[in-house]
Amino acid sequence: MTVNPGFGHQQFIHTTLPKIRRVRGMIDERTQGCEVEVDGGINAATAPLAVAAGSHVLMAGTAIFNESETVTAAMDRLRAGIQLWQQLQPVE
Amino acid sequence: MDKGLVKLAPSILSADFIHLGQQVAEAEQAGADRIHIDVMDGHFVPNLSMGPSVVQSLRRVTRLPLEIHLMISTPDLFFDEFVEAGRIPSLFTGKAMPMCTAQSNASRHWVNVPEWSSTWRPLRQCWTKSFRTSIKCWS
Repeated sequence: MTVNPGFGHQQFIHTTLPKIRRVRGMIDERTQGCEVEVDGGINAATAPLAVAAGSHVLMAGTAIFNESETVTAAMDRLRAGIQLWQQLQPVE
Repeated sequence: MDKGLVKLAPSILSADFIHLGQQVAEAEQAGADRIHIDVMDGHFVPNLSMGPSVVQSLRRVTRLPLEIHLMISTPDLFFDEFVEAGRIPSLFTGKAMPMCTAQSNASRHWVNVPEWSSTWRPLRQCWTKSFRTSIKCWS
């Protein structure tokens, strides 16, 4: 959880990022193919942070279902944000 | 797992409930990987949301995995009902947060074993096992 559970429309809690990284590390030490999902406050701005921390399943509510754009447009925008961030990463 | 591939799980808590089926269908068309359903009981968390009947209805409009987030004080009492309603390929609860184990194992069982009758047993084992070995990642 990256917000306090109970309600939508909440702001991403940034102090969860080190926890995601730590969980990702703990999992990678033990097994492969295990997903870490983040739940809460995910939008085009916070999604890349969660992905960078090691989460590859993003739950998004308001960022996808909102009145200002269609579901398709919102999902495209979210994916575009993540892709842009991935492209900006230095190649290992 | 391909680390570059990011999966999206739209949460219907923010959807327009008048057009819920339509919005979920649109999310599926737009490439959603699963549909996230927040179940709240007003006790475990300070809000009320939806129950198995919504899950049952959504099962009719999408073939995507339904991800049931049980934020309820008695998940064991409702587990079977949700499994029956959604033929759940993945499930996790708030308290123990066994999401990693539960999801990866459960998805595999669901995909490999299409028959409902034989699906829920491994799911249940996975569920109980997850509870014991869960990793807490509460905010």
